[in-house]
Amino acid sequence: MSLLLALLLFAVPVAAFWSLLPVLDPIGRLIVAIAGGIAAVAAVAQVMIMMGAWSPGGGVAGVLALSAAVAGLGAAHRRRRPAPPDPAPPATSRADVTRADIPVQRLDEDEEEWLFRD
Amino acid sequence: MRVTVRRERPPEEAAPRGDGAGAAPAAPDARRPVLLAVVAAMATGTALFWLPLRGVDLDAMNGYGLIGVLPVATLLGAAVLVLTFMASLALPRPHRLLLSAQVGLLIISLHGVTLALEPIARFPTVWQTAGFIEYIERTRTVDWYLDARFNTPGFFSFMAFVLKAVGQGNIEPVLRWAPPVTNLLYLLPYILILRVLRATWRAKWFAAWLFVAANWVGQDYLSPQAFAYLLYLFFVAILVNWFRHHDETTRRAGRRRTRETRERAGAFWRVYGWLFGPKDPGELPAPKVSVREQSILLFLLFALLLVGTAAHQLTPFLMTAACGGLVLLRRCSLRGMPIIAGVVYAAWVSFMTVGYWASRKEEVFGGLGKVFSNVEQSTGGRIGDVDGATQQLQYLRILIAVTVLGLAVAGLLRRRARGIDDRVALVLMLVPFSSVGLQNYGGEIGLRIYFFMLPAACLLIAYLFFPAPFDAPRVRDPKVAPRFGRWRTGRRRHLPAVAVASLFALSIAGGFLAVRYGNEKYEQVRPSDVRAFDVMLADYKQTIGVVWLSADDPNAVGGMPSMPWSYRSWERFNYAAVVADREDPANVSQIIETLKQQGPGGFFVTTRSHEDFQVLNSGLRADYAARMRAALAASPQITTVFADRDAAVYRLRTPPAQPVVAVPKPAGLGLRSSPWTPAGLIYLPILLAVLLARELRRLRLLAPAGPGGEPPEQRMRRLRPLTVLALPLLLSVAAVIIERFLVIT
Repeated sequence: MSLLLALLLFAVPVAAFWSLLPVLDPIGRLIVAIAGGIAAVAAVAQVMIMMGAWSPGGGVAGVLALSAAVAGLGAAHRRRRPAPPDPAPPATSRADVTRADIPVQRLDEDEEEWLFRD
Repeated sequence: MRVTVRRERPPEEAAPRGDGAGAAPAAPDARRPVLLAVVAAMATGTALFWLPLRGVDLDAMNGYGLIGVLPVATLLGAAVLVLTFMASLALPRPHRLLLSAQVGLLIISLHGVTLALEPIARFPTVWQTAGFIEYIERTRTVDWYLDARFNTPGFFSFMAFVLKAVGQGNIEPVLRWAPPVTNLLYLLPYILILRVLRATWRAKWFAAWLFVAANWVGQDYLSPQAFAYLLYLFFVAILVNWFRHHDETTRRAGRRRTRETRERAGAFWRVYGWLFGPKDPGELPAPKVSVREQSILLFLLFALLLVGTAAHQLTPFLMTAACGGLVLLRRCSLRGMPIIAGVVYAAWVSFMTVGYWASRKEEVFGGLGKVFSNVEQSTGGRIGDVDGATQQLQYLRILIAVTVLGLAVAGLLRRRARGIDDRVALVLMLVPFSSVGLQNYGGEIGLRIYFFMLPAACLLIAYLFFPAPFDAPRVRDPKVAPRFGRWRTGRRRHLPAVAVASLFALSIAGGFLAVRYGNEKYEQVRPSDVRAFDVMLADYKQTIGVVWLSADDPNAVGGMPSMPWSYRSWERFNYAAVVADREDPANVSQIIETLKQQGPGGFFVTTRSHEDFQVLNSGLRADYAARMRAALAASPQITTVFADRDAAVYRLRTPPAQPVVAVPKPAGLGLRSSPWTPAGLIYLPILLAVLLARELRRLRLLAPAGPGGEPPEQRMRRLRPLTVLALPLLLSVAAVIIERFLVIT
């Protein structure tokens, strides 16, 4: 039960950071979101202890507020630019790309093609 | 000439699966029976490892620790697990699910073996973390005066908040499960680091496996260090993924072979060319992301830095150094980040940890520059008047560390000989050594260096066995038959490397089980140890003076008892050590004398783990504790509060009424001011804001401009106003920090 609640506590800021970074690749996006979620929860707790206002209830409220702010940033960005830019085409300069992977330009309209037309 | 016939594969298996996974389009799939055999072996190894653990007798342990009492079947199971992982590496293509399951099994087997053996969480030090967390949960603040670790309370505050928010009252399960969970979490950023590298899937998976198996230093228990290390890995992972220089800059025209350089001959130019000549970068081209994503990631990096600084005292220094090293070797485009990190770190030390450094300037900064004594203390110095077995384990630890370092250097050289320049790995491996001169760190800095070196070292060791930059058969002249051609071409060409790597993997896993749990005789915590402290807290409601036995002068060895001391009610415990009378264990007069000094709250505590520690590390006689306990029980002045086989608590039958020590009220963070401090508190946020704004602007200026834009050199001039603004602020903050250090005593 505690484990589920703890997962939920971290899942909220992680989801917020996930929505903030739509352009990154899925694995990078997920891991960065996890880093952001952990940093968010820890930062709220640290600010509370430094302000002398440490309390679990206030912390949960702080995490929720921070997540809402982050998610709001993501939503605002999406609204301003409704269609997210297409994901970048797969990088062709990678080391493991072979000649077979690069699409060959087809010569459809060749200069001499009329020769073969009926 | 061999002709490889591709079998028809189902489309979902043939499809490439992201980074490096589908690297070999021509690689034939493994036959299904082979896969099934690997899975079956994995299951057998798991069963062999875990099932016999039920019959382990921990009391039979000697100075060699856990490895001496583990059943042969368990060790065999560990070997089977290692070999099945290596067999999966020998398969023609990566089976990611299988490999992930094997790494997960390795984590739970190596880092969680004591979960099945010991009733409560091992390692006394982790119980002090529990004490800090309990203190914050109860008082909702900290007390800098109680312990130096309260000066960086970020992690304790974080854990206390999480535990309290989810209603987990009992911290013990968290302490127990922390090592496997943290090791699992470390792999997340490590995946990000690995995927940017120009290496085969075998090298990457072997590096991830090694990262688990070579992490024997035991810094992964629930502690600020373990948490800050996770943040460090995230920090580095984000830097190398999205803030790398574009590779064009590393292969400028001037680095290519020209007619002039071609004519250079001789030994000097060969060495020169090998060191600085044209090389392929060891990293794949950085993925292009927009300025918006980079700005968000920059803020995230800053947040990681702040959280890490508030949580641990050593790690932010390494974050700064890693970022600085990457910038210096042109693998990081965030040139201002090391300065931001340095400012944050210096400001935290100056403003927040003043309670710690004000009273002991000599001690803290005395470690600075005493490099040689630090090295000596953290390696040979740790081996003193100790038991033969413990000493051998200590030498084995040094041997493993030196081997790992040596193989990593060899791997670096092997890649360099292939014309690959692994700068990110080089930086990450060298950076931890910069902390040698920083501080003494209780003679532990050697362990920390190994710990922080590990991500890069594992990678470089994997390169030693699998150095190829990408997975493709080497092009050979088919008319020339190579020697041992069967093993160097075709499907079997990976087997020799995997076989040699298996030998290393077996030895490092065995070494792990030997040294990680080598001190288990005194690093285990028994339920009675915890109960001893509960009994004292229940028996006396004021400040308790705990008297404990030390074989050596505790001031000289810097020790505390090897018990779960102060695991709760931190402020109610004081500690006083009694140096053992080595001649006569029955001489308890010194103990009685010290108990009298403690007043009505004096207790003498001894536990079996603590006694074993004194026997193994300080050369106390093996029967000393038993005879001392008998003498204490027989003494007319002493009454037994609690005693069983594992722990015992004694107190005076008629304790003196004085002195009664009041329970200290929480003293907070112990911030102190100086004449210039208010100005510093204003300058500091402005400085950080200006530096961050400057970095954001740089990112925007670095982004490729449209056609007709200014050349980059001219665009960078637009940074100057912010630079000019930042400089005086930086000087002012530095001046305030220096002033605080001089004024506050």
